[in-house]
Order: sequence, then C-alpha cells, then structure tokens
Amino acid sequence: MKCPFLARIGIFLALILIGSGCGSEKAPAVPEPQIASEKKPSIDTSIRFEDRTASSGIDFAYRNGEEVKPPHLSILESLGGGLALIDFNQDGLQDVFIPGGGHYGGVDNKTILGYPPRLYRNDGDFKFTDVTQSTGLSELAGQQSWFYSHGVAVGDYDRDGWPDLLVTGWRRIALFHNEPSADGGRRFVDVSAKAGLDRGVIWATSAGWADFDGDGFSDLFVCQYVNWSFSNHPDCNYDGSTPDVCPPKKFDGLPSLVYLNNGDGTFREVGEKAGISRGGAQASKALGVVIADLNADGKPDVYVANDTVENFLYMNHSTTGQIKFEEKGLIAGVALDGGGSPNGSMGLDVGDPERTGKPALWVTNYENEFHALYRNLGRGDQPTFVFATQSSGVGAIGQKFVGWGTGFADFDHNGWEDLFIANGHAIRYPAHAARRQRPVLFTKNATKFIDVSSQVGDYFKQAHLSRGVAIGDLDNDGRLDLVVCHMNDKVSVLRNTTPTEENHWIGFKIKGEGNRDIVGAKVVIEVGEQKQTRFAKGGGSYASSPDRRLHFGVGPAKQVDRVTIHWPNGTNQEWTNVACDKYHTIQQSNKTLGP
Amino acid sequence: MLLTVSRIWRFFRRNIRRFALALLLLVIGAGLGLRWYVLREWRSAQTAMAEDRPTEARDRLKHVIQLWPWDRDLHLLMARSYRLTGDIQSSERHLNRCLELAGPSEAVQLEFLLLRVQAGDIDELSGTLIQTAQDGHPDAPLILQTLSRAYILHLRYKPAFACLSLWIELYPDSARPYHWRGVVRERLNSPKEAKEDYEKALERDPDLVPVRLRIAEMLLEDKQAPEAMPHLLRLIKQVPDDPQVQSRLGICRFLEGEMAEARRLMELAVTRIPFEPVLLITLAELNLQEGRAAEAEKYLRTVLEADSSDTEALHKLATVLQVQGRTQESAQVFEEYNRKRVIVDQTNDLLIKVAKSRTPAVDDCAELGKLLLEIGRTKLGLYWAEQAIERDPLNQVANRALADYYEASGDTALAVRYRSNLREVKTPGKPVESPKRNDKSSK
Repeated sequence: MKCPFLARIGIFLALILIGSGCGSEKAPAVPEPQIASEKKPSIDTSIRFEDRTASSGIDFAYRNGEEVKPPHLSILESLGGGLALIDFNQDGLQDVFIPGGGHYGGVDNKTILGYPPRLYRNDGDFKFTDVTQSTGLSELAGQQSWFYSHGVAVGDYDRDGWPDLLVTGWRRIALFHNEPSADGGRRFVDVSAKAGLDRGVIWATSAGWADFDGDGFSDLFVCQYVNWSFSNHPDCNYDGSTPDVCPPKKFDGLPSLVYLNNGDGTFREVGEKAGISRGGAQASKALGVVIADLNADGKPDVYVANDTVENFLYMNHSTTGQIKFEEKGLIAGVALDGGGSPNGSMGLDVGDPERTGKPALWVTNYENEFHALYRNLGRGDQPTFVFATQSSGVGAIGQKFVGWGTGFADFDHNGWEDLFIANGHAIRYPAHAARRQRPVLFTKNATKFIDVSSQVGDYFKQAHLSRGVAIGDLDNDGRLDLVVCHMNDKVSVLRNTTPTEENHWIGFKIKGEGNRDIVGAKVVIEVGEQKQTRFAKGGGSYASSPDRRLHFGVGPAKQVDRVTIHWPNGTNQEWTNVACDKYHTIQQSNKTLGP
Repeated sequence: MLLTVSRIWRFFRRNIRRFALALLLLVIGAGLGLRWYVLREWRSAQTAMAEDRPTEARDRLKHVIQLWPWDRDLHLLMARSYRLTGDIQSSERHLNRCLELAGPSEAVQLEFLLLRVQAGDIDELSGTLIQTAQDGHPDAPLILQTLSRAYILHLRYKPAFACLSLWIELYPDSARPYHWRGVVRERLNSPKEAKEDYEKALERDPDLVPVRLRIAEMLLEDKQAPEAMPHLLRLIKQVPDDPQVQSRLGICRFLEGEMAEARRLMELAVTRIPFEPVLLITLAELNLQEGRAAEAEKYLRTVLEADSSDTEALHKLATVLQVQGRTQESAQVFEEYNRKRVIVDQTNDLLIKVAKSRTPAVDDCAELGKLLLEIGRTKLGLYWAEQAIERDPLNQVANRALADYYEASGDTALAVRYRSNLREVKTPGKPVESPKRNDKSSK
C-alpha cells in the first residue's frame, strides 16, 4: 500500500497550499539504521538449516568492485550476482556455478573488468571441488578475460541432453556449451560468437530458457537494466549531502532481449518483433524473470520484475518459428502493487502456495514496499491476478527489507510451499534500514505464511548483503537446501537439517521427448483429498537458476495416489500409487517412471 | 376537611421556630450546594481550558454563569473560551460584562489584547505581547498560545514556529507547545522534526490522544506499521470508541495480515466515518483479497463518487471488475485510470516545480489549474487557474480551462467571459474549421 494517509496529489497540495515559504530549518540527524522489528513468530517450526559453508570447499565471493578509491558509487555495483545449481556431469548431484562479478581498472579506474566465475563439482556429503579451470570456465573464447558478470541461466539449448550455461553481465552475455573433455569428463566451450550471442547487449541481468515457439528448442529471454555507463553517471544522494548510488529513475530502461533458437546452434534476437517493450525513462528496467505457463494453454509465459516501473506479463501467442508476446501486466493485475504503484522489483518465482492448482506469482521488492504475492484468479485464457500480500501473511514482516533472490519450497515436507527471501540494501548508505539485512524464511500452513526466520538457524539471525539464491537438494536426501550469493562475502551453503521423519516427499526429474524443453509443463500429485501442483519453470529467483527437479512434500503419506503431468504440447500422462521419498524420472511418452 | 387544616395550622403555630430553623438550614444548604456546583464546574472548565478543550469549558460555564452571573472571573473565563472557539462577539460581550462588574483589571485588559490578536491585529500587538511573556508574566503560556494560534490561522508558520519555540523555552515541561510546533513543522514540510516534537509532547503527557494518533498515522505513512502498532494499541484502550483510532488500528491489522480483526475494526469505524478514502480503499482491498469483489466494488464506488481522480481507487476498481468477469467494464476503467494517472503524474511534477520556486511561473499555475480541472479537483483547479489569470489576464491556457469548465458546468456567462479572452474565439458547439477543410467541402 502506498502512503495510506496521503493521496498522491494530496502529498504535494498540502505542501504547496499550506507550507509556502518553508525550508530554512536545519536538517535532522540521520538515525541509526535499523532492521525491521523482530517479531516472535506465533508458531514453532521444525525447519532447520545448518551453515555448511566452511567445510563445503566452496570458498568464493562475488565481487562488485565497490572497494575502488575514490569510490564510483555506480549503479553497476548495486546489482550483485546470482548462482546456478547445475548437474553438469550428470552424476546425479547438483553442482554450483557462481558468476565472478567484476572491478574497475585503467588509468582512471573507469574501465569495467570482470572476474572469472567458479564452478564447484558436488562430490557428495556437502563436499565440493573447484573445477573452474579444468572445465574451461576461467576464460572466454580466444583467451579473452571475463566481463563484469551478474547472472546465470541453465538450459540444454541444443537438446544433447547435457545442461549448458548462459552468463549475463555488463555489455555481454556468454553461452557455454557442455561438451565431453579429453579426460573423459566434461568441459564448457564458449560458443557465444558462433551462436550469435556475443553482440547487441548493453546490460544483461537475469535470464531464462524456455521454448516459446513450440519447436522443441529452448529460446532465451534476457533482461536488460538501464542505460548507465561512465558517460551517463550523475552524482546522487538521498539526504542532500552523502554521495550514494543513483536510483534507477535517473536512467532510461533498456528493452529485454528475446533470442529465437534456430535449432542449429545459432540464435537471432527477435524482441522488438515479438512485442517486447522498448524501454525508456518509465519502462523496462528489468532485474528478474520467471517463465511458466500461467494460463494453462501449454505455452510458457514470461513475467518480468522491473525496478521502479511497471512489471511486465508477456502472454505467449507464439507459433512455430515466430515468437509473439502480448504484454498484459496492467490488465492482469501484476504490473503494480495493491495500491496501484510500480515497485522496485527484483526477484520472483511461480508456485502454488495456496494449492489452487493455478500458478501464483511472487515478487520481492524494495524498501517501503511490500513483497507481492499475486493470487491467480484467471478464467480461460484471460490472466487475472489479485494482490494478496496481506491476506497471505507475508505483509507481516513490514516494509524494511530490500528483497532479491527468492523461491517457494516445501522445506519441512508438510505439503505446503514455504518461502525464502535473500535481503540486502541496494544503496550504500540507507537512512531507514540497514545495508545488511537478515534473510526471511516463511513457513506456510493451511491458512498463511508465518515468518520463522529467528528459529531456523544461525545464518538467519545474522545480517547479510545478499543477492541471488538457488534452492535445490544438494545431497539428494529429499530436503531442499539453499545456496546464497552475497556481495563481497563468501557464498553460503545451507544444509536443510529439518527433522522430517514423520513427513514424506517425492521428486521428479522431467525430460521432454528428444530432450525437448519442458518449461510450461506442470505436475499434479494427489494424496487423498490433497492436490498439489508444481510448474516447470525457466529463470526465477534473482539472476539465478535453481535445481530444476520438481519437489513435493506430502506430509505423512508414504505414497502418492496419483501423479499427472501436463506437457506443453497438451498431452497428459498419469501414474497411480507412486512411492514417496525418492526422485522419479518422467520421460515424455514413457509409460513407466524411471529412477 | 376543615378540621384537618385547622390541626395543621395549630401544629405549625406551636412549632414555628422549628420550621423557621429548618427553612434557614434549607436555604443555607441550597446556597452551599449551589456554590459547590459552581466551584466544581468552574474547576472543570479551568481544567478543560488548560487541556485545550475550550468548547467543553464554554459548555460547562454556560449553565454556571446563569446561576452566578455576578462573578467577574467566570465572565473572564467564559470570554476566553468563546475567543478560543472563535466566537469573537460573545467573547467581547463577556469582557464588557467583566468591566461592568469590577472595572478594568490587568487580566481583562490582557484578554482584550488577545482578542484583538485573534481578530487579526497580530503584528501591531505581537511585540508587546512577546515582551510581556518574556518578562515572566504568569499568563505567558496563554499569550504565546494565542499568538501562535493566530499565526497558524493566518498560515504564517514561521512566526508561529518562533512563538512556539519561545513557549517551549519558557515552559519546557509543557506538552502543548511541542504538539503545536509539531503541527507547524508538518505544515513547513519537515515531517521528521514534526514527529520529534510530537514524541516530546508525548513524553510530557502520554495521554494526548491526537498527538499519539498523529504519530501512528505518520508511522503508517512512512510504511512502518509494526512501529505504529504499540501507539494504536494504547489508543484503543484509551478511547475505544474513537472511529479514527479504530480505523487506523484496523488498517494496521490488515497490513500485518490479521484479516478478521482488521475487518471488525474497519467495519465498525466506517459506520461513523463513512467517507474516508483511506479507510474505504483498505476495506475494498481486504474484501478483494478475501474474495468478496462485489463488497470491494461498493467501497471503491463511494471513494470515486467523492473524488473521481483517485487513481488508486480506479486501479483497484478495474481489478475488482476483472475478477468479477466484467472484462469490458474493467477495460474501460483501466483506460480511465491510465488517462488520469498521466495527468496526476504531470500535476505532481508541476506541484513539485511550483513548490521549489519562490514565485511560481504564470504558465505553471495555468497548466496546474487546467490539469486539476481535468481530473475533477475543481476547487484547487479554479484556485490555480485564477491565480494565473490574476497575474496574466490574457493567459490562454487558464482562460481556456476556465471557459471549458464553466461551459461544462452550465455557467454560460462566465464561460463566455473567459472565452472572450482567447485569441481564437470559438462559439460553443461550432468549432472553427480549418481553411483546408473548407476548401475540401467547397469542392
């Protein structure tokens, strides 16, 4: 809700009509930054996370370059980075990829440079090994050094059955093809130039893969932020004196990029033709993207989180070979918050936290705004969402947090999707909230979300400067773990140690026929009267790529009565009496579930 | 019958002294009772005055003064209460009665001076009065209160601020000057400092309901619902039937997701304050989130009837209609919302520009008037358009906006008057056609 006691016009009318001739008083002292009031949760939760960073072997920090002297305080430094869970070697364990970020160089420290990323192979039992060098990720093609990077998206663009990597950043994106290496392992080869992805990018943040036109090949959606550069780098402050990072309103938004996969290892950018907003002062400052079928027509739709301007909902009307979107954010009710104002949106996800069977949209927002849960009330082809932040309980944390990476996940297997949010301020010297902020974990019961952060582990009691988060099962014990990327601090690896003996779970790895892209599919499980739905998604969180397996907590039931998968091509498959506490592979058209 | 009367008479004659004594005691008792009543009411009135409730003081004194009409102090207090409720004539009448009863006195003279200040003679008297206050006059708070109130009433916030600061300097333990200075600082667009003053007022008198309520509102405006909650919980104990408190607590409960309690409080409040936009919009939002779109629509329509430019209500109404499957209506409302939002944004930009300039440009005033009239904010629109015309009688934008407005509202005479100032005079209903179109039609 925006400024509940002052109408938009009223704000200024009061100032003009009554307070003329003002402004000579001395500015007040800036209060000490505070974190939003800690509220004792009204329930106890069994959810627990253990910080396993120190023993994990993951010892890497994303760097944003803010240490430069004198400081640039550039908006580039505020975005930070995400990370990806990718089983790059198909050993069944989720490996971790982390973009490196960047720094400044040159005589005037205004040359924007990158740090190489890290790829950590998961050796099991929460032990990881740095394989960046051996997998060829320490430099770009032609021994070029890395660009200043932010995000990552995982997808199998050539349908060879091996997940590939797309990395986003300042002035570049890079596509890495997952190939066999000489030693029998795997390596990544920078194929950006060959794919036609090495040009035309101004500032890429998040990205997501999905087969928009239904030809089976994953197309690519890349968010772009604003037209900042050192030649467009104004001085900014928020208190009249202290220099700080500029807000996005100082810059023009950039159009997101849509790359149509030609099916031969090359792409062509078709954003304008596809109906993507062209940007400008009041449009398209995209930080996050999530892709899923939102109106049950089998086609993956795109929801874009824009910073300070309206979010976009691109409904997919593509036909084979021709990507076509219709932007319906405003009329569908997801462009603005409940008060009709655009928010500073960052991270997002799609889920079914209220078990309606319809995908709800979730967006994390800036300070003084509520994070937004949009309940899906769509009928037929018409997307209709209602802002449901308060009734869902997520509004209870107040409006002090600046939320980034996020995701739904049933951490305690009680059959309701919980919610994690990584927080941290975007500017350097915030007046009303701390720069470092504690993360938030909501548990969900049949009625609402409840903040139980103070109970779930030491990591949650501390303040961090967090950005991306990837949720996934790192040890395949059925409990979803967290990997969180911070700015200039080490990535945290959090093991889910929730005692779940009384509750059970089930997971699905989904494979399209001939390795077709599966974004847009959905899986429904039925246990007695209880129905739960999970959606195969592209993008999500912030600049990150989570474990793509679909995971359900099922409560005390030891088997699921019925599992139904709805494929993007409109076909369904169904299985009954499926065993819990294991991952099953659903291979399109195969009648049996695989291990 | 005659026998009975004669018996009573005999009894009375035998006990006449006793009856006389009883009567005397009765008269003395009645007198003492009356005196006790008058004193009680007088003290209550004094307390009410001290706590800035002059209306209550006046109402108490109205009865008392009929029973005790010869008391100068009563008339003086009555005069003061009338003055503070804005009834200058009645105040003067009671002051004159003071003079009749006891001749001139310093207290009455001071009250006469304060009456003049309140009537508008501020600058003439402020120097003397401030000096009197600084010299330690026992009525210094009254003097400074009157002066600051007069300045506030005349929208002269800087001298009001100075008076209140002096009041605080002389009486640092008094809550009221902090409260008032908070109000002035809000008018001076210094909300942080205003809140600090309100907090100091509350430190000195924690039971000040309007101050605590304003702090809670400011916290809600500043998106700090959790911080507003303790204030509202205290207020609801203090004044459980106050609809403003119920409304704000309801909104706060809504923000933290306590839907049932929010509904109970807000539905209670809306019966007593049925046209408050914030309350109505929050009730609509609550109903929408709980799946009662028709109820939500009802509240939003009420808001829009009062102010058709409320873009928040328009946006929500479009969603409410969409949820009810009334897609076409929803699309129309969205269209209106989009149109008005652009104008509201332009208006706000202009207002900021005007606020920053010492003397706003005539063209900005005219444009502001035009925009405000376009979105139905008539009073303000007329104000700004007329401001423009006052400084530039031939301003085209202002004249056109006013002509259009008066034409639409049926005041043809005024419409014609403003239209006559336009360089291209158009007859209503007959737009002037361009030469090109004339050429075409002639062909």
